[in-house]
Amino acid sequence: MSAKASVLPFVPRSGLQSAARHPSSPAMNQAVTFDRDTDPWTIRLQAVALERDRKAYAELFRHFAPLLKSFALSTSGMSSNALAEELVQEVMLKIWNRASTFDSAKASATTWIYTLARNCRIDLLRRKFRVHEEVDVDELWDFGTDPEELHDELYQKRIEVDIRESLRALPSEQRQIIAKVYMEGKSHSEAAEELNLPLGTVKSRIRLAMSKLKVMLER
Amino acid sequence: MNAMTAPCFHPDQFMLSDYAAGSLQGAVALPLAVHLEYCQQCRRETQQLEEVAACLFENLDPVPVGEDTLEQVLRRIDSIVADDVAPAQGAVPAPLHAGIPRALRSLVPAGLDALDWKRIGSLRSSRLRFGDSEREVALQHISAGGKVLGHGHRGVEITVVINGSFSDQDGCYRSGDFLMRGPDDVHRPVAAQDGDCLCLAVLDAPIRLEGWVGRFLNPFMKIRPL
Ligand SMILES: [Zn+2]
Repeated sequence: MSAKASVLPFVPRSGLQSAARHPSSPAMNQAVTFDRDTDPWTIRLQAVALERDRKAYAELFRHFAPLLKSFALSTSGMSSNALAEELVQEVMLKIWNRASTFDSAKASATTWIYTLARNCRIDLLRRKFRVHEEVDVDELWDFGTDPEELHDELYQKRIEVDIRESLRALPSEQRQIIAKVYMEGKSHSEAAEELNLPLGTVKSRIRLAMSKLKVMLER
Repeated sequence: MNAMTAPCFHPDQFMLSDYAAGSLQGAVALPLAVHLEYCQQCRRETQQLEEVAACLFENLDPVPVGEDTLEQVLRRIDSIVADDVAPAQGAVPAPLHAGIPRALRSLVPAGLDALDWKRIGSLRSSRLRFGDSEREVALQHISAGGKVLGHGHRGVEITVVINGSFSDQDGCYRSGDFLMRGPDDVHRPVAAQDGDCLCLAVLDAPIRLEGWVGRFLNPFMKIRPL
C-alpha cells in the first residue's frame, strides 16, 4: 500500500487542544471514536518509517511541534524558550531517526511521540541541572513489550478508546490535577504543595480519577 | 525476564504514574524499571498510564514554534548519518550479563564478579555508580540461609529481588518482587535455604540497626551515593 501524504485522510488540527485549560469547552465532551488504524498521525508516521516521506513528516511537524513546545514550557524548571525549542528539535529528530522502530500494534503515534518527549525532557533536565546519571534515559524508560503481549492488541485498543472517552468525561477538578502531575512533570507531593492541598487529598483525587479512567487493574 | 512466576509485590499506582509521567526522582526509576522487566501486569498498567499522558499531551494548548524550526530540523536530518538509532531491544546479553536485568547492565559493565563487594555477616553489598547524589544504589547478596541484622530505616528503602528469594516477618519475596520500606518498618531478612539471593536496593537515608550493635554503630551509619 502506498501511503502518499496527499491521499491521507484530512483531520483538522486537534479540536480538543484548548480543552485542558478550558475544561468545560464543548469539544472535550464531543464523542470522538479513536482508532489507531485510521488515526491520521499513525498513518503519517508509518509513511515516514516506510517511505521516508517528507511531506508526511512536515505534517507531523505542524501538528506535534507546537504541542511539544507547549509540553516543554509547562515543565517546572524549564520555562525558557531556548530549552523548549531544543526539546522540539530533539524530539522531531528522533521521530525521523527512530520511525522504523515505531510499531502501531503497540501504541498510537501520539503515545509513542509522548514517550519520546517525556524521555527527552528527562534528558534535558539532567543536562540543565548537571546531573550525570549513568543509565541512559531510554534504558530506564523503555521496558519494551513481549511478543506474546501483542495477542492482546484488540484489548489494548479497546482500553485506549476507553481511556480517551473517560478522560473527556472527568470532572475538571480531577482532570486538572492529573494534567499537573503528568504534563508539568511534578511528583504527587510537589503537586500537593503547589495546590496547597494535603498530599492525601491530591492522592485521593488522583485515585478517583484513575479508577474512572479504568486504569486500575485487578489489584 | 525469565521469571518463572509473576511477582506478587508491586509498586503502588502512584509510583507507576510518576514513572509514566517521567517525574520519578533520580535513582528511584531504576528499581521500577527492573520490576517492569519481570512484571507483565505493571507493564500493561504503565502502558495505559502512558496513554492517559498522551491524551493529555494531545490536548495541550499548542504554542507556535520558531519560523525556521522546521527548516532547521530538516537540515539536521540531511546531515545525519544514522547515528541515533533506538537501543536494540531483546538483544542477547553478553554472557557476563546473563541473569542481570537490562536496566542494570550499564551499571555492571564487567559483570557481578568484577564488582567491589563489602561483606557484613552473611550480606555482601556493592554500591553502584548511578549518579544520584541523594541516594545510595547497591546490589545486595545474601548467601543461602543467611540472616541479615535486624534493621529499621530512617528514610525509604526500595528493594527489588533479582534472583533467589528472601523472607521477613511479613512475607516471602521472589524474583521481581518490589518492596518499599518506610521509617517505621523494622525487619530481619533471611535468604531462602536453597539458594543465594540477589537484590537491588535504593536508599535515601541510612538504615538503623537494632539492638546493641545499633547503639554503637548507628551514629556512624551514612548513605554513600556514588
Ligand atoms: Zn508489578
